[in-house]
Amino acid sequence: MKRKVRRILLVEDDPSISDVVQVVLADDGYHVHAAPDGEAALSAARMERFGIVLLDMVVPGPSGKELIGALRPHLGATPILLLTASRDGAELARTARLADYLAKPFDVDALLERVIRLYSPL
Amino acid sequence: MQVGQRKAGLGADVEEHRVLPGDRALKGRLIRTEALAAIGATSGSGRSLLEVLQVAVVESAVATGSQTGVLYLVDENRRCLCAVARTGADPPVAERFREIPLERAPLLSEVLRGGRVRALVEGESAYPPPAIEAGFRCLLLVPLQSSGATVGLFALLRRDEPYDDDDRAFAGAAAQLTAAAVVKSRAEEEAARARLRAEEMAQVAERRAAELEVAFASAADGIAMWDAAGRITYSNRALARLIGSGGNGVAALEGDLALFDLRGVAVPAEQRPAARALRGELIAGEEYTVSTAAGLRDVRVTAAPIRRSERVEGAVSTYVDITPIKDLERRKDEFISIASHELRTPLTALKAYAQATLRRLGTASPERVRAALSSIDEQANRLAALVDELLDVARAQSGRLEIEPSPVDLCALVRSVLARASVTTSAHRLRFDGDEEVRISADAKRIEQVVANLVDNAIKYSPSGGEVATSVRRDGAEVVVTVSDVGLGIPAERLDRVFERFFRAHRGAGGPPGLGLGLYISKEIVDRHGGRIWCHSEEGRGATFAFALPLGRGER
Repeated sequence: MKRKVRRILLVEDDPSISDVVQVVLADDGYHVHAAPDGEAALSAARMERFGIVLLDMVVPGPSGKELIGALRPHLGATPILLLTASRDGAELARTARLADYLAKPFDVDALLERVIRLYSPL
Repeated sequence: MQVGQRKAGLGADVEEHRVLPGDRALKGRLIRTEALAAIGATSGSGRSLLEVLQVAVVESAVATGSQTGVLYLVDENRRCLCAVARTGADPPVAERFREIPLERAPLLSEVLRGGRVRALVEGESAYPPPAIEAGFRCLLLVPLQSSGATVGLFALLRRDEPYDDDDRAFAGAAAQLTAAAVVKSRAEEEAARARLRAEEMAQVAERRAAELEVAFASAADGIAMWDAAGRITYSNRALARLIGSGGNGVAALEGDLALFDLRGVAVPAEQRPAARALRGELIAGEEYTVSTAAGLRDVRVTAAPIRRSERVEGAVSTYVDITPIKDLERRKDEFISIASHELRTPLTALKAYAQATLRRLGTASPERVRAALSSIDEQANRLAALVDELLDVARAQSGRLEIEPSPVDLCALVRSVLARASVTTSAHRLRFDGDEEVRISADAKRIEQVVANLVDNAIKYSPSGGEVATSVRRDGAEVVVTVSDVGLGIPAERLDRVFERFFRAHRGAGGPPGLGLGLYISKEIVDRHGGRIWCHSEEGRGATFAFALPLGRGER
């Protein structure tokens, strides 16, 4: 039986971070859809289904809690992993009922561990 | 003189109407009565105490037929008796007994203590030898007592005849009158001193009030005085300036919506600092937001009760406008969170590239390793630039931003900045318009930093692209460099603050990245060159930033 494609939505406005995260995840066999802002993230969520969303807290356009609220109806049970350079990531992850969070700068191993653990098969 | 005259008059009067010639005892009694009347009259005549005492000693000596009389007053401080009036004494003798220490005069001390008239004659064991030496055989010592206090004593001396009961009775009465005069005079002196003290205190109070008035009026902080009922009885100019004058001015401090705590909740009237001070509380600097004619201001309030004998009669409260401090604090907090975000972003990419490369080190193609290393290098440069920016701010703040001038062609400098910027964007058209060459003396690296910052901002704040136009033109003694974009522009109310530290024209999530320090540093650099920097903008229609630098003499 052919293995299903594992899809990840990456919402990150910094191109260098977006690039390297895509490389790391592609190496492990994930297909990453990169969205540089809130609008792109929303249109991707409307079009496709993903096993996990990696979300930078601050991106242009709809952002943070507002973006999370807008994404939720399209995500179903898909978990959101928050990537944040802010110190109150834990607080935001809890109040917005997110699956988990990673503080920037993070370890690639920690990112992969969370992605593997949280990934919800389509 | 007066004593003699009155005696002559009295003598005539007595002989004519009352006294039979030869009735010596009766005559003596009348003379004594006259003497007492004279002492009483003098003491009520408003004359000085010394004059009264002199009359008393002379009258007493005459009335008792004494050759000598001395009046001593007790000097409590020096523990001695001081002769203040005398009659009949030889000057050398008088001088000898002008001052008698109490400890060396047991007889006199005993009379003062006992409070009774004492008559002595030579031969008694207590009789003082100095009196014998001076030729006096009889001595009458009379304490001066009034209202239970012994203020001094009379010493009357005769050469021969001992003092009898009549003499003692007279002397006792004369002493009483004299003592009363002393006490009265001292009370008057005390009252006069008290009046003087009160006048001095009133003057001091008046001066203090005038000083306080000036201090309050010229104080930089707002000050209000409250009465016990919670009404403002005084407020100074600074308070009027702080919260705005007029109907809604000072009285607004009492209004329901005037004062907010730091969470923005209106403080109920009974919890206001002044109200609490009126209940006796001391408020040592609490921070509030106050609603003023000019909008919300942050204030630090102190308040203290004014007490008089335990009762709170009012309160004084002061209001320091800490809005600028609070604004800077808020911008600093915002800056720290922005700086932390800005520093973590390249660090995140750098670290992820390094770790991803390590993970695949054995299997990755050389191209991939090269690409990763070049990304790491790029992120390291980005970090270094941020750190430089932070260091520049620290230097600018402490006045250590150094300028090393050398000849520079400003046109070439601007063109090279544009050339470098053009590779970072395909959405913007970068245009240069200006003279061929404008040479000035400036720190090339620093001015390049200013131009690059303005061009980067123009690109960053026009996200939909468009033209970024630059120009370099001589204008009198200056050269003016302008950078214009057709981007977001700057809200009018923020226009005059764009050169402040930590200020960002567009804040909040999703705004363009940056530390918000570029324009502050640019202004510092231009200032250090003796130039000026400014901007024009209309929100939504782009912005023009310009700076002018002085031209050298040969370039005008």
